Amino acid sequence: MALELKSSDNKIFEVEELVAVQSETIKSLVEDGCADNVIPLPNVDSKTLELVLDWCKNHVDMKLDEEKLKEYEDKFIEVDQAVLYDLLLAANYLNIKDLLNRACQKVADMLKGKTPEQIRETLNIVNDFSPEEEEEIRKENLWAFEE
Amino acid sequence: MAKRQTNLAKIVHPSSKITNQKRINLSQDRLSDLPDEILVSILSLLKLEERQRTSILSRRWRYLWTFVTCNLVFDKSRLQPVWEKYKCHEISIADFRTALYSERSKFIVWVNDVLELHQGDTIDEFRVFFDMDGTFSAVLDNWIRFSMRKKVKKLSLNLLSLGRHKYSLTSQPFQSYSLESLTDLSLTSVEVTGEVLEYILSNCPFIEILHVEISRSLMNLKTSCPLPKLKHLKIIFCQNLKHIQIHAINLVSFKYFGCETTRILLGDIPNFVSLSVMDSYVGYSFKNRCPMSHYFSQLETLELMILRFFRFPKLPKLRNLRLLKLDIHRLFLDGIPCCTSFLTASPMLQRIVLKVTLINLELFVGLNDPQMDGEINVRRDTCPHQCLKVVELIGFVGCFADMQLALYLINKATSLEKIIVYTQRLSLGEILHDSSYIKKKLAAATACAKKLETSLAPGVELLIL
Repeated sequence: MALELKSSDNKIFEVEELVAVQSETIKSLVEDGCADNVIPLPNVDSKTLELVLDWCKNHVDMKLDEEKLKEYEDKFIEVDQAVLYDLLLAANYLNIKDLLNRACQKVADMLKGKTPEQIRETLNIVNDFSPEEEEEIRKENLWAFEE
Repeated sequence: MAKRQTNLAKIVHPSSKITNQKRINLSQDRLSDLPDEILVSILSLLKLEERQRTSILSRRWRYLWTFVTCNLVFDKSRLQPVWEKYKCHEISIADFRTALYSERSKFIVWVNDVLELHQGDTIDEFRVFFDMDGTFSAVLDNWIRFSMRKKVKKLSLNLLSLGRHKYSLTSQPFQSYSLESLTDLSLTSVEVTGEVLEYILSNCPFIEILHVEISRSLMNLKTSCPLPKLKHLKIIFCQNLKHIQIHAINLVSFKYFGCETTRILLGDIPNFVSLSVMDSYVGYSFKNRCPMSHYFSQLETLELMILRFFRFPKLPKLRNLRLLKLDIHRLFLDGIPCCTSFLTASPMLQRIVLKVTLINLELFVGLNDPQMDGEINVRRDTCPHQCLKVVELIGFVGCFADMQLALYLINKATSLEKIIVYTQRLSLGEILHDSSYIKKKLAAATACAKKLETSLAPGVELLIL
């Protein structure tokens, strides 16, 4: 059975139900009988949706081959930050656990071993603390900052 | 302490945060745009100290880490460098003690602070691994109460203390809390009696893993109530233990390092497939009067650790054995006859892991003659083993005995798929010799391991690690 998904930029994707229900969100729509028409996904653009569907399809195809799947996942997640965030948001919205976990792991790996200053630089986070507040935080979390 | 805002009310559905410009400006901080729950998921994949350091990134991040519910692991990694220095005699024991006491005080402040700041409703895993003895009973009791309040699933205390006055676990911190969430309890260097364990276990209907190590006060582990979910039981070095009697009908694995005078009654356990025992209990367990002997035909995994002299017994048929792990002292057990006995007794064996330990360093030097001339010829075995697929040799040094053993196994296993040789030396060598000596030995061992390649049948993989 095929389903039709519409991205935020109005592109229609036709997918097998088996592939689409990797998304718990879509799965519940199907189970509730709301999936007869085109399913609009206003929070996912076509570029991201294409990637997500590729992930889902491969997870159906390679379900039994753990090694091959891991190889695929590792290659899949090698994307630049902007795409990674889009994937995170899409995986969260569509409720695709394994994609969300993999993407979270990728971000976590980006944070590991870095100082707060380095993390801010990598992620473009603006430090909005006053020097006094920073001092307070360092005291509150003394052991962690002493390392 | 200043009041902190609870940020998690900000769990927003992504649809309410869509802005059209999100992808245009790459130098934007897009990570902080993600909803709280995703950021908390990411933080849960970091170690506690790293997670805690994100508090300083920005206001948005200040308390996100306190919502992580997967684990709180407080370990002694900070002590490690001091311990290494002491082991290498760079600092005296008095200096080590001073450093320890100072680190410990800071450690306790840290744990208390983190517990105070924690805002998640639950904690999946709570682990403390630090040198703490009985003088810190009140503190430890409070930490246990905290984890009970947070409905902890896995509670692990490893208190390392070498001193006499260990921390005694009582039933006190558990009272007035529900223990239903607890599935995994691990206590090392904690004095706990059979009565306290009985109290805890009778209130934990879902307990799956129980591990008690180095508790002198444990004399009897007897529970009257059934433990239907208990799958893994580990009782290690509880020297006064006289009696184990539990009703855990679904027990899968049992690890017991202790002496044979302990009476162990586990009853009928149809799912029991994995046994791990040590030293004299090894020989005893094969005797008919030992209750363990009744389970041998069920076993799929057997782990034996033999560090003292031992006359190898006659083995019963191990009909279902798939994985054998032997950790033996090089001098006491000759590898080849030992392997022959096991291979004959275990026709279904698929994987064998042999770790040959050296306790005496002088012997390490003496036995090590990695430069081998000429071929070692092992007679083609008349009784090949049809099932053995993977052979792992840990602590491979490259000496004659090692090569003989490796070649013996290679020839015997006609269905061999993979042989993995681990040449990394144990920390013993690292402490007492300089690194260049160790490097030379490792290189020699690796060279010898490579020679094995010529004896392998086509398609058999050789991994040298």
